[in-house]
Amino acid sequence: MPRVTVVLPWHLVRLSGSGGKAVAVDVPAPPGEEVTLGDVVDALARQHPVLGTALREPIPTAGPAGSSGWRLRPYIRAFAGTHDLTASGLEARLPRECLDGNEPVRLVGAIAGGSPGSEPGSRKEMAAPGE
Amino acid sequence: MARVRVLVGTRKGGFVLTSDASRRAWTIEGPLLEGCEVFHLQASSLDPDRLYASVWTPWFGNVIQRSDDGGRTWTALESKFQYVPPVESYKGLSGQPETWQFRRTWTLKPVANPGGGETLLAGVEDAALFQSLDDGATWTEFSALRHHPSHSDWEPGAAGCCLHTVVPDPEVPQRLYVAISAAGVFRSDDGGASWRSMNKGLRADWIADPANAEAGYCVHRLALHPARPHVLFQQNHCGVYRSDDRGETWQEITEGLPSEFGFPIVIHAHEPDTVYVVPMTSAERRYPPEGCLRVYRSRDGGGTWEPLGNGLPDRHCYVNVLRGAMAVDQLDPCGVYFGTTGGQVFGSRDSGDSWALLADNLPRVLSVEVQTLEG
Repeated sequence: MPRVTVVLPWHLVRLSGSGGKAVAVDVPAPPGEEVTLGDVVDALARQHPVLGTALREPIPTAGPAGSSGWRLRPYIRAFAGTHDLTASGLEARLPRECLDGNEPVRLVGAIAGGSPGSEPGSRKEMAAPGE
Repeated sequence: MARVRVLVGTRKGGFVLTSDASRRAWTIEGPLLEGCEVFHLQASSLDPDRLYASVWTPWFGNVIQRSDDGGRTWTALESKFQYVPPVESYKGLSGQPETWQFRRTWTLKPVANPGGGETLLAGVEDAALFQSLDDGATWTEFSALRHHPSHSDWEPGAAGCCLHTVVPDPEVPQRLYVAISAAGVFRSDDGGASWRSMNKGLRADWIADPANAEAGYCVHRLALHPARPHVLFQQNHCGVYRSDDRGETWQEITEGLPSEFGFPIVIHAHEPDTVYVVPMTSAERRYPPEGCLRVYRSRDGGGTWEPLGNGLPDRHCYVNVLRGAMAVDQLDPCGVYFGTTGGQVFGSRDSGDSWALLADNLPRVLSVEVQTLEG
């Protein structure tokens, strides 16, 4: 079972009570199998449940199922060492360096996340929070 | 001696203002949960030192935090709000169907259970009602509300399709009112198992046939007095209303106000016919008429209104007062409190006759709640 080091931003350190920025998680995966960013987030959520909803959100899907799974929140960026995994989302495969413990997975808040009105066409352009 | 604690949720954390019963001098603690938007800071109905906070950031979404020591330390709860399938669509801003998606918690309402313990209710965006029976650790949805036959006609107000007000009937534990923008008022008489829309008599300028529409009404805030729970008041996007029959029908009581638009409405702690609103110029402008901040009070259940401005800004005031940002204490005379989008918190210790600035230069105030504490 690979042990992956995840480096969290300050806000999530405080939210989870992890005690430090670097959190080691054991990711269940048979030897030689691919490990995805989603597997790491799942493991992180088992260890610190509040991180499950802080890092990912349900994919809204109309219909009887209600949701077709999870996706990385839009203002979160994920890196394996210096390699940006964000575009592939939770499906992104971790490189061997992360599984060997030589590189951490870094999760950071995107610079664009500061304003809820920053998305073009967002309803939040019309009124500030609570209004 | 009694104390008063004003719980203020702001764009950048929570603040707690405390005074003795004289309500002349206030201490300010905060920011609590700094760096986060505290949408609603609310106290338990059983334990005055237990606080709940609905917290949100654009990066990491919504989380419910709980404090058992009056806000000094906090525990983040898992905060899983999952809609019960099927998940359908409401009318999006463009008029096209938009699939329900959990975005944030707007309001938290702790309700003491008749047999002991407490149920915590949460109104969320996209509009739905959840309950927690374990102090916020886990949440389940009252899905019959979201599955109401009118749901495809619900639409977002400017701030989203949100369930922002939860009002339990203090006499009938199974009866519950909720208010949704822009859907309207809904009532359950069976503990949330089924719901009826309660919008007859309301205006809605954007609905072609409001006389026959079940939903699409933009109620901004709903209130009832515990001593007379069959009477409801609401500040709506299109006027102020009163219902004398538990929401079955509404009569407009806007006459005498300078504007039909505003957000909060609260009722005096000891006088069920004394109601307070804060009119804003219009939906487009959202500031006090002529830049003069005034609370309006009716002492006859909406028959007549009087402006209250002693101690409030007379000019150049262009703030707003949001729907959750006004509350009363339980002392006599009744204290009234509100926060502004300009970061001011005003308070009156004489039922609104005069006002004092309790805090200034806070972040944008999103919510105000008041605890009246013994000792």
